[in-house]
Amino acid sequence: MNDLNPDDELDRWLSRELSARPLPAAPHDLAARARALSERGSDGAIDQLMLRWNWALRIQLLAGLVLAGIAVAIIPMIFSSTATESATLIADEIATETSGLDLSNSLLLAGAIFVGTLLFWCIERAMASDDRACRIGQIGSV
Amino acid sequence: MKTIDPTSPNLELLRQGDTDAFADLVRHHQTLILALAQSMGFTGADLDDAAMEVFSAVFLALPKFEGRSTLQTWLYRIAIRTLGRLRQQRKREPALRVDEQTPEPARPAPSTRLEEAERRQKLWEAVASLDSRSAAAVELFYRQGWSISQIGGVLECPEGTVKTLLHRAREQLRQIVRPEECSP
Repeated sequence: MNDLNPDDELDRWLSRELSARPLPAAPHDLAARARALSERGSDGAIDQLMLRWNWALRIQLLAGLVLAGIAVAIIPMIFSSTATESATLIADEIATETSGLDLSNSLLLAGAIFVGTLLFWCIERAMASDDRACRIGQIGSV
Repeated sequence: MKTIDPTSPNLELLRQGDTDAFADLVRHHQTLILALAQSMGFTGADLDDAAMEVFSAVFLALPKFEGRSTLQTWLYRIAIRTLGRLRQQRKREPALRVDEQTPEPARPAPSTRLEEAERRQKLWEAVASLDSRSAAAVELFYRQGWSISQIGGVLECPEGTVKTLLHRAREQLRQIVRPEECSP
């Protein structure tokens, strides 16, 4: 028996009422379903996205997409030796307006690409299949 | 046929992911896990899903079980943490079902039965509105009849903390369920 105070009316009432509550019926295939869930790894990417679709992830995803878009638009103009004429014209225009891509601009671009990659890496980590197992592993190391 | 005695489970089989051993483990503990989930406000299909999540977490964590506590204590720790996380994730609003009414053995007058059913429903909702640890403490103490020290082992806190948790929970429940409703 536990440490219930028999003289306390609320204690007695809680014990009586809560122990009289019907227990839910256990599903017959609980073990198989639980095993299947754990063996499935970490669900599909869509499941994970839905599960973790919070504001932090939305901001990360948006920022990553914007930076990736900038990188995709600018990189060919700067580094491709086979850039099209129009791309060259745009590059020339950018170069004229910004007085050329100096070292600081290049560093800025490299930084943007790095941050974009890092953000995507964070998202990928959040959705990685081993993430769930890691989280569970932390609570399981008792 | 590989089977285990639930009171002395074959940890090696469990760690190796043995299907029968795991099924026995689930069978032995599922009632309490479902009761815990029920006290935390899970109902219907959500209740089954919550229990499934708990045992899935247990299955994944079994290879890392170091045996520093009993398997039962370890399992219930995982259960309380997993259920708490699920509750947070889904921002559950307690919604209990009418079909959970307790059968009345003495068959009092209909109005009395209705009042009692309403009072019980109110109490269950009040327990489900507590924070995860408090709801678990109330479930284990009042419904399962565990001792304070057993609960402390599962909640990973000293007995004094369990007493404080229970005291606060009682006060919250007292405020929700009016004192005059506590008399039999």
